Amino acid sequence: MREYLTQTAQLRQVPSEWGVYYRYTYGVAGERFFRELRDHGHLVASVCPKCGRRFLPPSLYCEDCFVEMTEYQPVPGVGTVQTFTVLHESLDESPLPEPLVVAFVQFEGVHGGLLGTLRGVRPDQVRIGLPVKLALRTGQPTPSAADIGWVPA
Amino acid sequence: MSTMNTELRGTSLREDDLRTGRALATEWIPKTVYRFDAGIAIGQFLAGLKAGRLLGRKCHACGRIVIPPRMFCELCFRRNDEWVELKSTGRVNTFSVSFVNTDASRRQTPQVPAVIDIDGTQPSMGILHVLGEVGDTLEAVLRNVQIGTPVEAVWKPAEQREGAITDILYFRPMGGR
Repeated sequence: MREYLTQTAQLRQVPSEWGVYYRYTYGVAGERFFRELRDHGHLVASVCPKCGRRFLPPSLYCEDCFVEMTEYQPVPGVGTVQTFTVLHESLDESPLPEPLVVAFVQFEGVHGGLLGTLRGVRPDQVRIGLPVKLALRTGQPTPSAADIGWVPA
Repeated sequence: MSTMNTELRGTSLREDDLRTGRALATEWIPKTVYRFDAGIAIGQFLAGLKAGRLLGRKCHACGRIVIPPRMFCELCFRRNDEWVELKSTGRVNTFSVSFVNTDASRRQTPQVPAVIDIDGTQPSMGILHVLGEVGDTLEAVLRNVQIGTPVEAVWKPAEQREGAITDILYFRPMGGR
């Protein structure tokens, strides 16, 4: 069966919206991570007591050894861009006043990585492998992943 | 025999912990706007409502008239055959007396959602709507409405109709029966 649309003005769409609202709690390791970020302005990784691997963002259990991690260590200041994207529109599809670079950054000797906005470099000059350092958005009442940013190191 | 008394660890949180910042949290209201394409059957049905008509689809193989309409008979597994205009009258199949809005706020007067079996459907087939003019208290509603009560649609004025199920304001008991 096919529907042939000849009078598109008569197309019937039903508009609506889901009323969705949530609060996400960070968990034990995430709580530690964001408190360190807010109070001391640095990134911490959790350290596995068995294999010694360091996890960023920190998690409560080592996914290899399945043991609890209670030790946290500051992450070295300079990481490298592992991948990035250049945004020209905001979430509601309105154009951004200027393009925004979001970069996934990894740190040597640390498992995982973090997303953050990369400023201080022209979008067409961003390259994979670019060394960057943390540039934190401060003064937020509640720290969140949106506070994490980068600038060229 | 397994032991069921495993102690589950965790951190229980209360509203106050989030409000006072003892536990950190991110709040978010995702923007979840959507539009769905009504399709052939419901598109025609909604266009019918705008014109003040209730439209069903009839299957010539089994004789059923279905409302809300669809273009396919799920019993005969074939495309059904014709549009049928139905009277906007029916009988209460089931109903509920609600003092709670969809956002869980309390109502002073009840809303009475009901499934109305539309006259002329074979076998009887219903649409979900609300009843009106049935009273402002639980007791009054129960006096005025029973399963099987004949009801009729009260339509919006033609110029206000927009092709939505709300073009029927409500169904009310038919007088004098």
